[in-house]
Amino acid sequence: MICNHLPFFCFEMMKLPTEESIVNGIRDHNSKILQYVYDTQYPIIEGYIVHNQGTREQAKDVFQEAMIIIYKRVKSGKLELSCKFGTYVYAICKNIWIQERKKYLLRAELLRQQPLMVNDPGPADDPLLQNHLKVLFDKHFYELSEDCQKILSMYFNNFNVEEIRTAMNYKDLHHAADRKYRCKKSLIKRIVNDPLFKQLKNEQR
Amino acid sequence: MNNVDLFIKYLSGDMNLDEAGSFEEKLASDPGFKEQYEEVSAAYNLIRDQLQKRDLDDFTKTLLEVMEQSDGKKSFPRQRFRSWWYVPLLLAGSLAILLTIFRHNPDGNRMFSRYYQPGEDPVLLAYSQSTRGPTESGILYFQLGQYAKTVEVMSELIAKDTGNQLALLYYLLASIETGMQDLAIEKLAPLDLRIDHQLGQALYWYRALALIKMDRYEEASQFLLALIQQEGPYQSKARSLQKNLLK
Repeated sequence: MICNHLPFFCFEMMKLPTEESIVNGIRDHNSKILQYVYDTQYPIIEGYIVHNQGTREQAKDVFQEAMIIIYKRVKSGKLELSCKFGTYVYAICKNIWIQERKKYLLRAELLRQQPLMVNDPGPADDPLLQNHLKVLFDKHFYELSEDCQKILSMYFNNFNVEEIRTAMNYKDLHHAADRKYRCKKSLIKRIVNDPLFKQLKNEQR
Repeated sequence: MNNVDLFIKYLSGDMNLDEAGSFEEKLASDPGFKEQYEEVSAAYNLIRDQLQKRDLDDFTKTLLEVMEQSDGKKSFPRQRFRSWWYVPLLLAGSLAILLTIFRHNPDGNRMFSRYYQPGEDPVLLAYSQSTRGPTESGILYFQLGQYAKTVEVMSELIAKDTGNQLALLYYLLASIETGMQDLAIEKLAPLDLRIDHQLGQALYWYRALALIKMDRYEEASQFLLALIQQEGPYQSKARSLQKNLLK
């Protein structure tokens, strides 16, 4: 039980972390847990990739991608472990690598048939537009109080009100929910009233 | 409640079914209301996307730091000897070690190093990934390079059940890693191991390699011959190693 809340403690006691504490550690960016996952799982993944026509660099990319997929699932509450965590990582890496190999073969085939292909990125991938959106967001987000920044970061990363209440040390749920609402409304109003927002919104259309 | 409050409530998923139904009806019938909603919705999505991206960037940064640190740790011993005056000393030392090895045994260690690759062994990979029960901690210690701990955990399990082949396999592997393979060979000697199963075949294979490491080629050859006759993951490697032994 203590490992769920204090993963460091598990390491201090030289106990291996449980599946649950690994999942919690990933969710909380706990570097000791990430270190443990890397040390125990990466050699297996590297062995698999290198054994299947890959390189060590590709093994690292696959492992990183798999960890990001797992992280997103943990964050969205969609991770349901029905097997060992290591088995899960291995299965994801294997799938990524199979997809990568397929893509590589397909790309090679396309290049063979049609040597020149030009892709025009849509607005979602336009780096200039993305940069403007980030500037606009940062400008208003950092004008909020530190508490509001923390609350919104947690809220939009799927922390529930009870978790926000605990993290912010608020006395009751109602206060936490109220603060969450006010912070959200305040930031939305600031962004909507910024002329740059209207301009960017038109560009995105 | 003004419109902004309504929009936030809808976007946050805080409306009940009836409220959401009437809200969507109004959206469909009132263009001014819809225009206001689209503005707030765009701001809401911008905040969500930026905060999720920021969080993911933080996670990726931490993960990359961990990966780089681990790589740094692995290459640390090499970086320590960068001063030029170590080079002749290192060369002389390496030469002396190589001479000792080759005078004692011209091929055994070379053959052992070439064939001993537990990290790429599909049988070990499969067993280390499936539900493992009491052997789990021993296997994890092995993966972490804590071989003495592996020997300790597996010895306890073997004492309880001498036929626990998975425990025996990792006991043997950890013993090879620590240079104590003679003890593992002794422990395995009285056992009648089944070779019609992948785990038994793995035990034959690593037992042969341990014997080669100890220069006991004839005994190793017996295990290799058994593997050659048995269809399985070690058959072709055993054939190749046997050829090298005969040379």
